[in-house]
Parts: sequence; structure tokens; C-alpha cells
Amino acid sequence: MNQFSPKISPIYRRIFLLALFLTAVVILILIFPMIDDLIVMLIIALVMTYIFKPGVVYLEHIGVHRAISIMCIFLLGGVLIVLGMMFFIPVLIEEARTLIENIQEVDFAAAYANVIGWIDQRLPGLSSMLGAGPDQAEAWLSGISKAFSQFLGQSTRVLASAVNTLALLSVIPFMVFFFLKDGSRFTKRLIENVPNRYFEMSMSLVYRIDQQLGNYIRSVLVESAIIGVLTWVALEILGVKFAIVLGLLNGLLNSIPFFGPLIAYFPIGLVILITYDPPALGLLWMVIILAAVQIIDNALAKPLLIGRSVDVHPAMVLLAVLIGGKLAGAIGMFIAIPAYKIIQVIIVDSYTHLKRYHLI
Amino acid sequence: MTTQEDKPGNSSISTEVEWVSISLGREKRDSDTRRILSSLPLFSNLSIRDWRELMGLFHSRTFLDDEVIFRRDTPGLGMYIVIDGNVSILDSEKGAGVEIARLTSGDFFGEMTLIEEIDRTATAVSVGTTNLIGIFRPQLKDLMHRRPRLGLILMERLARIVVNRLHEANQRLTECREKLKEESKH
Repeated sequence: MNQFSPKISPIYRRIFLLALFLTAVVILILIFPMIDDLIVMLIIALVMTYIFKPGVVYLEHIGVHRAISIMCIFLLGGVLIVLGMMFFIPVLIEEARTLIENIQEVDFAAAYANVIGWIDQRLPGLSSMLGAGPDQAEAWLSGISKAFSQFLGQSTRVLASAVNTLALLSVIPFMVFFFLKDGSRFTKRLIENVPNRYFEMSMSLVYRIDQQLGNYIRSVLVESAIIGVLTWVALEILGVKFAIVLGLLNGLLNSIPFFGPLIAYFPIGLVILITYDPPALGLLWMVIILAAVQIIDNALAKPLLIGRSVDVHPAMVLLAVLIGGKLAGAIGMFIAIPAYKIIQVIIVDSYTHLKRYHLI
Repeated sequence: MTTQEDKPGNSSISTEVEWVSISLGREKRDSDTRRILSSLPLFSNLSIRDWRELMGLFHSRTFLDDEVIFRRDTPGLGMYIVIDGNVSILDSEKGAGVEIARLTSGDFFGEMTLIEEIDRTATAVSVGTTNLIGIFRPQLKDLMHRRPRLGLILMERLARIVVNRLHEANQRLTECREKLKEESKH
């Protein structure tokens, strides 16, 4: 029997572990503002590594040296990024600029007053009872606008510090190259320092986490791309304006489980209401298109993509997204679920591994 | 006076001697490891490139006397090769089990778990300070994706080893049955 592990009651052990976990969360939240750009950069590099890895493995599989395989994939990635910037980004910027101009032209205060007036006609006194009378429109709109600009400002700050030109040109590719070239060697060195008692468990845990994260990130990326392209093509066929921006938005937001697609429907609906003629028909088409995209995603894409399931309660998704949004704005919202997934896999798998290896 | 000046020089010479001996010791250990590994049917007659690839897969572990290497009924992750020292294979927990086998330098164990994710069927405990080389399933799988030719060679040899062990076990089982039959006749 190990003399250094006195018997501790399971309940105290659980309380201790919970306190340890909560302390770690608090410390993370406290130090996050100091190192948020570094964490964002690290997560971007990790995500890119997982995206590039199958390509590198494939080239190695057909006999190309590892370093040359990585260079080939980097070259291909670089060409795609340059082509994207040359053809896609200008169209996207133009569409986004026109969309913002169109939205600015809409008199939201008048629209709000109309809606409140319609409600007041049917349920008199309800709006003033809730403190949302027609005179409140300006206050509400300025509040929303202030919160939105604050939120975007925070995202821009984190993104600007993380993805500045220097990082894009040197640090992130360097990190990705290091992860791809020496990632397995680094993992091996890390595991070698683990005591014998925990050695096999640690190795199994590290590989399982690596496998799960890789599957998850690649699945989310493929699924988001499928949804984005399907939405773009369908909206383009219908002649809806800003189809590229809306497709991209729907694809991106789809990476947030449960709530992401719902959040995406609002801007799509708003654009259709503003630009499509007649708006009612546009909204009907929107419902049909988005339902079809979701059906195709659920029936065809999801069964083919392993590791997509997040196994997390919708309330936890909401909480994670809110914390992510609070810490790093819109970027934080997108990183929240992968970050949650990383923590979830580490905690759950550590626990199951400790049990399976008879260590607890 | 001179002694004070000599001291740093002496210490640097002794450090160098120590370093050379450590380095020679490591080289000797590496060459011993290589010699033992290449004598095994699993790793014999491989090219230098294959060896370089394999060296990245091997995990060198040192176990002190009476240390558990793995326990029965825990998930099996891979096989170990004894470089020096001894390993006792027990049929159940340490302290309660009967020794099934005593392994020495050049022997290997746990090879079945390289092929399939199965629980360990015995407990392995080191006898004296023991150096082992471990090779594990996740890395072997990774190697099979990256270098399928080498992966196939290893898996074929591994299958042969497992088949031979199964054949031996079957023979022993038949012998035991015959013995039991004879004993029941008497």
C-alpha cells in the first residue's frame, strides 16, 4: 500500500476536486484578459494543425518526407488563402458594406413604433405596463447599439492583438509548423516525464483527447462549410441579396450548437424583410431553405461526420457561449464551444481513465 | 594558493570525465537496446530508415524493484520488451497472485494489446531495477497511416507471433487434457 496516500473519504475527495476545479476556473477567468491574445493565437494554431494534419499524413502515406509534406500543405493553404483574398474577400466586403448601408437606411424607431402601436390596438396598456411604450424606442435602440458596439469592440481588440499582421505572417504558421513537425515528439517527451504508475493512463488519455479534438474540429469545419455553401447557393438561386455574407454567417454560426442556427436566422430574416419583394414570400422561402439545409445537414452530413456530437446540455452551451462572449466578444463565442469541448474531454476522460486503470 | 587555482580546473576535468562516462554509458545502453531489439523477430532485418522511424515510437521506462508495470483487468495499451532486469508475470494482483512466468532480457510481453484494445490478463511486476522498452497501439496505428509498408511488416510479424503463442497454448491445453484423461483412467 502506498504510505503517501492516506485514506480520504470519497465525499471530501469530491469536494476537494470540485474546489480545485472551481479555483482553476476562477484563476483562468482572472488571468484570461492578460493572455487572451496568446490563447486565441494558440487555439487558431491548434485548429489549423488539426485541419492540415490529414493532408500531411496522406502525403507521408504516399511516401513524401514529413517536412516536405508539411511544406506542400503550407504552400497549398497559402495559395488558397491568396486566391480567397483575391476573389472572395472583395465581394464579401462589398456585400457587407452595402448591407450595412441598407440597414442604416431603415428607420428602426418608426418600425418599432408601428409594432408597439399594433400591439396596443389589440392589447391596450400592455406596452406601457412592460415599460416599452413608443417613446422608449430611442432608449432601447441606443442601448442595443451601445451594447453591440461594445461587444464588437471587445472582439476587435482581441482579434486585432491576436491576428495582427506579424502573428499572421510569422507566429501562427511557425506554431502550426512546429505542431505538425514535432507534435508527436513533444507529446512523447511530455509523457516520458509521467511517473510509471500513471504512464499508460496518460498516454491513452493524450491520444484519446487528440483524436476526439481532431475529429470534432474537422467535423465542425466540414459541416459549417456544407451549410454555408448550401445556404449561399439556395439564396443566390432565389435572388436574395448578400447571399455570400448570409451563407458565411449561417455556416459560421452553425458551429455553435443549438443556438447558433437560431441566431443566424434573425439577420437572414432581417435582410429578406428589407430587400426581398414581396417580403412575405421571401420569408416563406427562407423558412423552406433553412429547413431544407438543416434536413440535409442532419440526414446526410452529420451521420458521415464522426465526433460532431458535443454531448452537452443546451444550458451549458448557453453558459459557455455567454462566458466566451463576455471574455473575448464574438471571437470568444466561437471559441467557447471548442474550448468547452477541450475541458470536457480532459475532465471526463481523465476521470474514466483513472477509474479504468484502478487509480481511484 | 595553487590548490585554489587548481580546484576549478580539477572540477571541470572531473565534470568532463563524468559527462564522457555518462555519454558513453548512454551510447552503450542505446547500442544494447538496439542489439536486443533487432534480435527480436518483430524488429529484425529492418532498414536504417525504418529503424529511425521506429526509434520515435519506443518509450524507454525504468522500473524499480517490485514496481507494478501494469495490472490485470486494466486496459491494455501495448507491449514491453525487457532490456535488462527481470519481470514477474502474476495471474492476479501483486502480493496475491501466482507467478506464471519470469521474463529476462530480450523477452517481451503484452503484444496482444498492440492489435486489439483488450484488458490485461495478468499483472506484471519488476524484479530488481528493470529497464523496459514500450511500444504502444496509438503510435503503431499512427505509423500504419503514415508508413503503411512498415506498418504492414510489423503487423504481419505480430500476427505470426500471436499465432505461434496461440498454437503453443493449444498444444499445452491438449497435453493437459490427455494428462487429465490418463489420471481419470487410473
